[in-house]
Amino acid sequence: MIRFLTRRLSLTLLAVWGALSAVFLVLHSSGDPAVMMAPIGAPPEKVAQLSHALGYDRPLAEQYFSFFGDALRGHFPDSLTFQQPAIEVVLQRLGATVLLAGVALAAAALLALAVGLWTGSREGGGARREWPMWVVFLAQSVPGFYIGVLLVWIFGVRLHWLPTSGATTATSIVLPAATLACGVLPPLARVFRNNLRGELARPYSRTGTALGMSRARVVRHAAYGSLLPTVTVLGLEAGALLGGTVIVESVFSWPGVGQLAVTALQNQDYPLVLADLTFLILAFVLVNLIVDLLYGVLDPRVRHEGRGPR
Amino acid sequence: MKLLPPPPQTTPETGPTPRTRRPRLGGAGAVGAVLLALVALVAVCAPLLAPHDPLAQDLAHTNAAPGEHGYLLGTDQLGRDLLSRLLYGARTPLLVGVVAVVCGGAFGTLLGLVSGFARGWADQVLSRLADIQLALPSVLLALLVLTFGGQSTAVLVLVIALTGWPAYFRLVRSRVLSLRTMPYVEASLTQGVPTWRVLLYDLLPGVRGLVAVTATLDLSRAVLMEAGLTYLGLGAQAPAADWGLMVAEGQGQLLGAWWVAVLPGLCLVALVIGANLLGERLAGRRPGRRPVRTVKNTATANRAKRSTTA
Repeated sequence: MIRFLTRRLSLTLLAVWGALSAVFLVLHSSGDPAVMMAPIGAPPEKVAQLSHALGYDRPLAEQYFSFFGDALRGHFPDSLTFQQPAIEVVLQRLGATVLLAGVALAAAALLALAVGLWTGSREGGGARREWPMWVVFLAQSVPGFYIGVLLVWIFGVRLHWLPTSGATTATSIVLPAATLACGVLPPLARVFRNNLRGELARPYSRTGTALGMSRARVVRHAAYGSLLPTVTVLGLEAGALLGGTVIVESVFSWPGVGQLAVTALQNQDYPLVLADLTFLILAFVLVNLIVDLLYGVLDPRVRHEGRGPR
Repeated sequence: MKLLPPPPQTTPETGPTPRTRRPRLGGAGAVGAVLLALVALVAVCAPLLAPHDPLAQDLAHTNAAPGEHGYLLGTDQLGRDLLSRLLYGARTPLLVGVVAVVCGGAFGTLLGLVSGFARGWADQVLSRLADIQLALPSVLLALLVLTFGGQSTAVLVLVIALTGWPAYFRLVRSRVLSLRTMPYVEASLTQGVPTWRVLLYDLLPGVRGLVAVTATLDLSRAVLMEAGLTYLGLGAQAPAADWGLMVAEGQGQLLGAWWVAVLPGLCLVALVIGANLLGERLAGRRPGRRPVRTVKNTATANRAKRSTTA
């Protein structure tokens, strides 16, 4: 367990280091970042003043180290459009994104279970059994924003069933969540289905069948065994989800952190973009860590990795 | 009681292999190849095929419906011929996608060869770098780089390639690790063949098929990413003809002129489906992980072939 923890934690620390280094590198790649952090059309002396205030005139090595502390404590330059610390603006919008991502993830997980059980619990079956995998394949090949645009067109513009913009009523979440779920569903459904097939082919399933267990019961046991890899993919998909929220929130003007980043970019509010994206990237690394630890809790084999036969 | 299903050819313990993971697509690989070839042809021959200049505005006939005023697929909000724009719009996604895949693939393959061959500390460092890269969310990283590192096609290609290389690296590395112990490689090494020749002539041919399959599937990822970033306003800029950009521009006209947004999206879907179909087919038929042909393996492969055809 200790070995697993140290390995996993060291990878997380490495990822945090890599992420922050990348942010720092990109930030300083085009000279003095104060030029971007200052309001548009600010006179040069104003920029120099800001550069000094933010410490951008210090040696790079010194800035590099202080940047880590600042970023981890959420110290970023003030947002230009909101006139307050950028991280506060981000945190105000966080709830909406978490809600959207949570609903989308839950919907995708349920759908993946249904698709996996339907297509994976029996061998063969032809098109009548396999068609959901084709739908999954299609969902995988359509850009997220295009699914969003199509849903807006069909359910908003044509049928007037659902609101297509903002978060005004309770039904506002339906379309963005559905769009986001389409992006996460394919890998989840595939992994669950294939593992279910694999588990059903293992000796314990055959023993169950031989002992006269009902098919439903055999499949249930196999499904438990296939849940573990699915949880891993769920964690990996948290990244796709965060990237997806940026796009989906922009399509539907959902007031979350993703849309905040894009509108800040359009308003050239670069301090806010910096705080927002850095926050999201760090959040992603953390979510991955949590999922991996959860995996260790769920599957004892992972905890005892490298000790004795599996 | 039902008869037990025959045990699958792959061992369930090793997890999903390409053969079991893909949904059965029948002769769909050919459809994929045709779709890809069609898009490539359109991109190359756009000037010959397009009936109008993709940038020429006809402000008297804005948002013309398909077939009206001699415009086969109608016009957009500025009266530009949609068909011509769709034809020209194939260029950027395809070019960015292919160049990014080539760059990322070459980089990942090279590092994978070196890492798997050298082992030791070089392997450790490169593997950790790949881990870090995989631990960072690609869309968010791309947003960050494009915001602070400058918005240009070159940066776009670079950032898509950067987020793609670990996939190649991991596959090539693990393959090279096993190829390295093959007698023919050891023979070369003991005869004093220079390392670069061993890498180039002994190991590279062994991973060629693997890289080709990965690259085909990676093309769909690259195109999806290009389209998403362009939709957010970080790729091609107006008035250029680019499918992702056209969807973004047409989104506001869904009520009156749905074709402006819906048709470019369909083209994108066709391109991505083409790459996915072909890639999956290639992966299914030639699961790059097949070990080097030995008498024993050939016998196993033949047995597998017999049992699937029976």
